[in-house]
Amino acid sequence: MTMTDDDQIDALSYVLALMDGEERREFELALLDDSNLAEMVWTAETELAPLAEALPPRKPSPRVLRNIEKSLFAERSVAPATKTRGTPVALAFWRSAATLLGVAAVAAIALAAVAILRPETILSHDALVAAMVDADDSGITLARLGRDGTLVTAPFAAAVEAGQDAELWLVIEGASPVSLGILHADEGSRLKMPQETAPALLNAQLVVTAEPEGGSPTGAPTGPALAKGGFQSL
Amino acid sequence: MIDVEHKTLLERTALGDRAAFRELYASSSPKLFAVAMRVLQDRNEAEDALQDAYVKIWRYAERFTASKAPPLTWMAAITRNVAIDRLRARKTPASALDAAERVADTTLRSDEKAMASGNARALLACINALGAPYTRLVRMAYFGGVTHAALAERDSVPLGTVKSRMRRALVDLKGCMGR
Repeated sequence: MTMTDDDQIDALSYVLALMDGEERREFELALLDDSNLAEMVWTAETELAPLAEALPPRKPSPRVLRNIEKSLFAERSVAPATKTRGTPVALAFWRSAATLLGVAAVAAIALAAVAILRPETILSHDALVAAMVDADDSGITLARLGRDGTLVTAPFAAAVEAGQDAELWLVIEGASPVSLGILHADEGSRLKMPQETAPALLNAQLVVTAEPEGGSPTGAPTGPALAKGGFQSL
Repeated sequence: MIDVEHKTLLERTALGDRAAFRELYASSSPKLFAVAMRVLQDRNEAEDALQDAYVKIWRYAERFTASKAPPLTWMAAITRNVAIDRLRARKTPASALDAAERVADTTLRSDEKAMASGNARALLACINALGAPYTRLVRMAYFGGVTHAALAERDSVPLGTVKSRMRRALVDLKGCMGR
């Protein structure tokens, strides 16, 4: 008999969906940390794929594609910062950021984390890189997340009005934006990321808003968005 | 080759190419919808699952390459996971098992006729070699109908016993598939 190790059987058991709720989630958590195990899951998926391929094709109703495109591509554009007039536009921006981040922004943060704990979304523990693109496309600012949870950013490229600071926010679907700190035009910043957000980062957005000097007085974004971007694993 | 086409379309989708995504949808959705339908056995539910699946495919397209899986396998896995999550949110393990049992006789036989390729025949031979009841259970499980807990409940057998029996079957299956 072929030597088969326990992890391979666990992977097969996962692909066959034999695990119940909690056990299934735990396995998905383990996958996040273990690229060998993730590879075994993909091997099992590939081995069993003929079962799916055997099904006779069926045509879904045309409304499905319409809904998909609506949820992905509607309200995508963000108003340029130069044209913003304070709160209403900023609110509109946050709504569109929510659309970008997911179908519904009502999911609890735990659900958002679960949503990415899927084989299709396994991320390696290599560096994550974020690019923040100015809303008016005049430039990009790069940031890199180190293994110690520090986000190192380049100087912020976009101009900020006198008496204002550029504040960086971490936006995770279903949760309130978390302030990471102030970005400067003449030097880079080293910012501490909240530990508990790590599993959701690939679905998260970084957004820079214009805030009164020293940062938002309320703890939530109040000014217009200057730039935004997502994380990519390298 | 359809796989090559899907791969190109996925790579273009990863770059944000909406036309490529639409083409990918046109050529792959009948297959993926079939998967969602088999799991959920309800047209509306399956269409909702399909919608969720393609939203994920768009968002995670750049991670396809890292999976090293064939494109349709990658997309079908996403669809199957979404559909199984929906099934489990809607039904208890016991009623999902009942529903899977009800359609098993007709569907498993017709699937088998469609499994004509070399790979498919080999996989089927491995699953058939498991013997009753595992041949049937494995094929139902793939579409989300079987969990350890549901089997334990139905057969009034301790959960640990169900798990260790199933594990033995999976060791055999893995050994056979790896040959």
